[in-house]
Amino acid sequence: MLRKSDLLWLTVAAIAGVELFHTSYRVQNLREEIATLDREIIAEQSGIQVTKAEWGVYTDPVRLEALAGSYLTTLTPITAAQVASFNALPLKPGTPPGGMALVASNPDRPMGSPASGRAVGVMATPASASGPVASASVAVPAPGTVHPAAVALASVGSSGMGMPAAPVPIHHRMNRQAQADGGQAAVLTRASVARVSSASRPPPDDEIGNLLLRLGRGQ
Amino acid sequence: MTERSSFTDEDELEPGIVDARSLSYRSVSDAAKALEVGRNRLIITGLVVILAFLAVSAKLVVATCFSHREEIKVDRPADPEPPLARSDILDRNGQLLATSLATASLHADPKLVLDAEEAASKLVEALPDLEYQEVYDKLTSNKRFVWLKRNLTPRQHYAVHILGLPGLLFENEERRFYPSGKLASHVVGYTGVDNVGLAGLERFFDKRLKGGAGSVQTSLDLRLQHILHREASAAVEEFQALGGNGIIMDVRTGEILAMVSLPDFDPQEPGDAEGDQKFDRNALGVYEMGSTFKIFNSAMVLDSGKIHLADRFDTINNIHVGHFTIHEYHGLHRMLNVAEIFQYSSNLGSARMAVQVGTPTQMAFMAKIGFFRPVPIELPELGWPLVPKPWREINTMTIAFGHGMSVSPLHVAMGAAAVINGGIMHKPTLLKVQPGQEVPGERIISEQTSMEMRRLFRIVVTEGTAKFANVPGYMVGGKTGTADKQRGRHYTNANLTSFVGVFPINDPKYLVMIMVDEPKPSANSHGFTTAGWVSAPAVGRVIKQIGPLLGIQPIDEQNPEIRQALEMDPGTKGTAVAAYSPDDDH
Repeated sequence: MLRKSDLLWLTVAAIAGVELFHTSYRVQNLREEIATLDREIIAEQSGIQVTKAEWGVYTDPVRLEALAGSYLTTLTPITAAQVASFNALPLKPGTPPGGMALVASNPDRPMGSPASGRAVGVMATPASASGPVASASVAVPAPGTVHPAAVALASVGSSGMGMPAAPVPIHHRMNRQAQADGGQAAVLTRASVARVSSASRPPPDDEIGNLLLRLGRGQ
Repeated sequence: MTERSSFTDEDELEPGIVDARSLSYRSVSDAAKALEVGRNRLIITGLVVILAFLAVSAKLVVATCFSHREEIKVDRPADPEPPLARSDILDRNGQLLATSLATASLHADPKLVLDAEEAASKLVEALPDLEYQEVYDKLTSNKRFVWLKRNLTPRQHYAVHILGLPGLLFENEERRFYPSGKLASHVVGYTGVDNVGLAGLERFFDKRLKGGAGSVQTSLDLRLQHILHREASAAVEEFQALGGNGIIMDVRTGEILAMVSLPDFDPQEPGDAEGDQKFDRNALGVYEMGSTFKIFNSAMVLDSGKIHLADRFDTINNIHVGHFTIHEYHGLHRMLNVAEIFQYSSNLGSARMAVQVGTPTQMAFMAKIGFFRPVPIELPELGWPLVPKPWREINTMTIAFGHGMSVSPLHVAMGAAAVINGGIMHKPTLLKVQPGQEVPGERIISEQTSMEMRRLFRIVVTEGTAKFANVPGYMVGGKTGTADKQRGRHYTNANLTSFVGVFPINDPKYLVMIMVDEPKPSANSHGFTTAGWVSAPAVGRVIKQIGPLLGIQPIDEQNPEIRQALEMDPGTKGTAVAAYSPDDDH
């Protein structure tokens, strides 16, 4: 004869049993899920490893040099003559407002020559040996005032192996360099720019050429 | 139970029937006592059980309600760590030099193969580099395990997998992969099929790479390695040489930025290497270096304090010792001072300087710069220098200009870096020195002597034997060396030309050395095979390309400060020979 309490206990036991059954199935499923995930993680990790190795193959200097040689024909490896520091820029204390700057690489001339009025190839050297981008900072002419923000005209960026890098949109480089320079600007006379643009060989990059022309007109 | 003894006197009773009398008359007190004992025991047992259950319940409550989830550990069916045990080797910028890839290797259990003929033909179709007969023999053998092909590519793995042949099994393995191929093969080394390091860094750091201690970041710069490899190869090719080698080193830290030995091999297939392809000329090869030894001779005599830059020596009369004669290759027929002896690379002058300073001083100096032991660097293959025994005066003389003692090119680079960097010897290293990291060093010559050596290095390039090494803006200084090669007991006409270049010489940062073994005259060298024509131009080309990469500020050579720092004293500067060309080098 079942009493009420017996019934209660039986019910509790039944519920516990069902719950246990459920739980053990859930655990089993979760284990399978973990195993699947682990397998996926391993596959993913070896995929990453393969991708890294592939990157190593694609960025192999020998391969990059061959590619640069066949596609970047207008760019040449930078030479010592294209590298100078800001200190080497001829600064003129009496520069009239609206003075402006130049950017031109002129490998035929000795670099960093302090003589004013001569064409000077100007490029900031990379901050570190591994920093591949070499660029120059110039002040943008603004009528009446000297614009405080330095604007960079990146020229030949050197990729890993002394070969030129693929061109980056010029405004990107400007922004980057302007941040990096913290507003430092080198100011030259308008006259010197005119001389530069006529004396020096046109820069290989058309964007730079156009910009120079615009600067030269004093816009 | 003790109570039962009270029943035993009533032995006539059948078992199982309780005698009522005994309960009623004799043992009422006994029975009560027994009941009491039983109840007590029951209570104690019950308490113990209840306590145990309470403990379990308490633990259950704590475990389910109060424990932190992360403490709960589930034994996982698989380890999520990848099965790649061997770590990567990186260059100083993080570019991969060596890495491990997970691959599948194909093996078979011949007992489970149903139709060996069909399986073999299908396999050969999927993997064309297998031989049918070989596969067939393996599949019909009596073993239970045969390797068919190790390290399949993913595509091959798929091709075999889809055949669905019974008895074929895959084993996950890892394979060493060298993304930049043979560019740094002698330094990085290679591994065997079971991923054991067999040469180079792979062998030296074998334990560390296997131990999962993380990747090894080397001091090498793959970009520089490439440039050095290209230019050294170009020199070897142009002069149809037997081989060559090159080193780029940071003279301030001793870091090796690039190291090339030619001919080289593919570390992926080290078994295919022939002849001396696997021989590392930089660390393992020892050579009579010729005139580059005058770097150490000059540093030694100047540092001894007994000889000064302006002192003159007889470079007209040959030296006769026993049946040896030391003579000049291109005598200038006048007395030369120490600077000119270095500039024009005079053998007679160097020998006389060394003799004046003395053999013990020379031996002590050579010991101090580590020329009696292998170079202390992270490579397993190191050459022992060949040192004369006994060390006679004639040895002192010949060693002064680099004959009669053989060291590795790495010895020369290490020593020259110390002579030129202010006089501090750093152990050369293939591990990256982190910025700001203190590099231990040992002073070998005074700073004053090092400054003088910089001037000597510079005039060799501006007015001496290495004009082709000059690179405008980078202030190259250096010393050429052209050694006659010895065959058996005799010296031959074959040369070993080397050039040790340092730039910028006013504040030395990097050393570039290129050596070419047995160059033959080329169309451009006007019949010459001396270092000034072979090695120096190659070093010049390297410096021209790596200068901008290393961020070296070009120097205005006309700057008065620079000129003053490097100008030779008018009293020591040679004036007699106006036109001196690199072919006069020896």
